This record gives sequence, structure tokens and C-alpha cells, in this order.
Amino acid sequence: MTTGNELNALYSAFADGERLDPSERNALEQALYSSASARRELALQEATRRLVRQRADSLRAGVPNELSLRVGRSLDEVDQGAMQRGHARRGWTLASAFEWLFATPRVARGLVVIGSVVVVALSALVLVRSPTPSDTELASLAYASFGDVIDGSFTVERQTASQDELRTYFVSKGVDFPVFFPQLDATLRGGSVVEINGQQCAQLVYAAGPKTVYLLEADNNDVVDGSVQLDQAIRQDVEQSRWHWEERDNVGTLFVWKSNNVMCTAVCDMPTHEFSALFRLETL
Amino acid sequence: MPERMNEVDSLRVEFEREAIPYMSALYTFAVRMTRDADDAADLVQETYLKAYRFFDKFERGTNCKAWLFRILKNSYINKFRKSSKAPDTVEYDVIEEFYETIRDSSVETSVLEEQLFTQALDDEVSAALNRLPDEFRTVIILCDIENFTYEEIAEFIDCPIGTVRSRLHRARKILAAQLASYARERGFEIPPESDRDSELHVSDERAPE
Repeated sequence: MTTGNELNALYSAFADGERLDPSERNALEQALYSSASARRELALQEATRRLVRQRADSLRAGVPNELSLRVGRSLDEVDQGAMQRGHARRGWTLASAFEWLFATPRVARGLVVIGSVVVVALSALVLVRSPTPSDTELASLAYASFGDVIDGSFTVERQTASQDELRTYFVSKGVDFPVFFPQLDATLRGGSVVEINGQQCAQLVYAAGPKTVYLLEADNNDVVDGSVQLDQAIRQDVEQSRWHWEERDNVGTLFVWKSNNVMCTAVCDMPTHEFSALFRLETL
Repeated sequence: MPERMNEVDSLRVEFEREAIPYMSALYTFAVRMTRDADDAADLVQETYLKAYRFFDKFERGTNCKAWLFRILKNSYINKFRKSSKAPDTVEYDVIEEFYETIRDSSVETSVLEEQLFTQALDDEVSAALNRLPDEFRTVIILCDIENFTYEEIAEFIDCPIGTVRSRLHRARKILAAQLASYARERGFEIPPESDRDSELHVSDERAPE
């Protein structure tokens, strides 16, 4: 049995040629067969649709020349910045490093021998000690905590959308750096504090529609002096390219950047291109 | 350094080929949403800047237009809707009430279309579109002007396809009612309500979303 509202929704789909499942199509056809008002409803949808589509060109706003120039200038600035940094975020990748190294046969042979020895040694170590996420490494912690948020085992100690309230809370819990609240297209849900090697670090949880964003922040001084660790490759990436992105299958997308001497790590279960779209430029 | 330049150049060329052609579509959408040319231009510029910064993260072969629209929408929500204290002022329930008064079950498609729309000018269609509440205007623009599929629209507005269907239905009804009102003001005769068959007449209560 199709209700009136459900039937209503089918008129537009039918007019647009969208796929209807057999029961929907059947309900719609019955209504159209037996009811003039249903036929009129469909006719109205089709007529309005046609009216707008026929005028699509005139309804489009012409792009001002100035806008095209502005966009072009903005892209130029990004290009210049990337070239000045020398090492761009798309520049010296692990893949290109390997490509360069293995391009020289003698170096390649040497690397293969060294690599084999290292692999054997590491395998022995792994047998002795099972790999566990580092309890002081920010990225691993961020991934693990994000998993806890998703499975409900993470407690948001202070649930509020108020940044002021959270700042007060973090100070009261011994967080001695100014916690950074990024400009995100998401709703702040609250925060908690986690201790890493005696350093109090801030955690923030945001909701972006049905998705969750988790942030773990540490004083960059603690990262520099090693009391809070950050994977060397990630840290290097952040220093040289301003940020680091990575996706892990079945875990999430990690974004690491530094802002106001705060090292920020964010994890979300969106692909990178969607996650990145949540961040406002001011954040970056 | 020359390699770096080549890399930047090739990325720029690819970006200009893939993304820049959608500037008109983005700007149209931005103008319709912000109702201000300067705000719309700022929004489009921010969208392109953001998209270019993350273009290496864009999955090649996927829908670049949808990706750009998503960035624009996020920027729009953050920049404009959060600062707007007043909700949309269009009283669409009132408009729908008016629509009910002009219904007539015996009107055929072609006649209906002629009666309602032949006198409606482009400007009036445009104005009627602008008067739609945000969520209805969005689906009309994406569907009828930008030719997005329901699936793409659903992803864009983060709603199920059923919501897209019902919003489009309601949006078109409101548009039709506004244009009928316009035609009536211009002296066009709208037949009085008569012979309405009610047993299968669908309720105009707001569809659940």
C-alpha cells in the first residue's frame, strides 16, 4: 500500500526518468490509470520540469571576467608557493625515491642485500614481540582513539559545542597549550584529555552529518623534544609540506598539520577528498 | 627544480582541463544560494583554491563536478548559513494553499502547461526559483539546471533518494503555484476549482524526510 506522500515522491522521479522499483511503478501506474488528480499531478511536475529545463541556459549566471582572473591568480599563488617550498606535497614520494635508487643497478643490488638482512632481522624481532600500537605516537593513538569513538568505547568527558567551555575544561585538566579549534564544516560535540608520557593532550570530537571526526592535539614543543612522538615520515611531511594525508583501509583517513605550534592529528572515516573538503582554508 | 616546475605545470593543466569548465555551473549555484554576486564570486574562488590545493587527493575518473559542488556546499554552509539568523521567509504552505484553489481535475497536460506557464517570462521563473527555500532551490538547480542524477543529489545533500524525490516534487509544486499566481496577476484566467476527485488525491502534508 503506497501512501499519499510516497506516491507524491514518485511523480518527480517518474518525470525525471529515474529508476522506480516494480512496486513503486505499479502503484504509480494504478494511480495514473484511475485518478485524474494523479494524472494532473504528474502533468504539473512534467510541465514545471520542462519549463525550468528549457530556460536552463538563461537561468545560468554568466561568469564575470574578473572572477576568472581572480581564480587564475589564486592558482598562480598556490603554484608559486609550492615551487618555493621546493619539496612539494606531491614531490619527493617514497615511490619516487625507490625509483631513483633502483635506477642504478649497483645501488639496487646493494640495497637488495641490505634489505634482505634487515627483513630477516625484523622478522626475528616480530616473533619476539608482537606489534602493538605505540602508546606515545600521535598518529597511532589518533587512529586507535578514533576506533574507540566509532565503537562507542570512547568517553567524551565534556560534551559541549562551546569552545570557551572546552578551553576552560582543558586548562583545568592541565593542558598547558592553547588548544586549536579548526574551522571545520562539522559540529563540535565535545572534548577529553589524554596523558601521553606525562603530557596532557587534548582530544576533540566533531560530527559531520553521519560521520565522525576525531582530533588529537599536542604541544609541538613536546613533539620536538620527543616526549610525544610522531612518526618520523609524517613529521617530516608536515615540516616540509605543511600537512600530511594518508588513508588506511578499513580504518580511516588521517590528516596531520601544525597550527600555532600545536601538532594536530585528525581522523575521519571519509575518503581523503571528502574529508579535506570539510576543512576551511583558514585552518590550513 | 625544473622537474618541480614541470610537475606543477602538468597538475595545473590537468586542473584547468578537469575543473575550470565547471566555473559557470558553480557560479550559477553560488549566485542562487547567496543571492549576491560578490559573495558568489568569493565562494567560487574559495572553492577553486581549496580544490586545487587538494587536487592530488581527487580520485581521477570520478565525478569532478560533484566533487567541486561538494566543496562549494561545505564552504557555503560554513560561510553563509551559519551566520544567517533568519530562516527562509518563503511561506510555502501558503503558496500550496493557493495552489489548491487553482486545481482542476479536468485540465489536460498541454492546457495546464499553457494556462500556467505561457505568460511566465524567464525573469519570473528566475525570481520564483530565488524565492524557493534553500533546500528546494538546491534540488531544482542540481536536477533541472545542472543535470545531476537523484543519486548524485542525494549524496550532495546527505539525504536518502526518497528525500530528493519528495523535495523535487514539492519544489516543482511551489514553483508552479508561484507562476500560476504570476499568470493570474497578468489577467490570465485560471479555471475555478471543480470536480476534484478525492479518493486518490494525494495529501499535501509535508513528506517525511
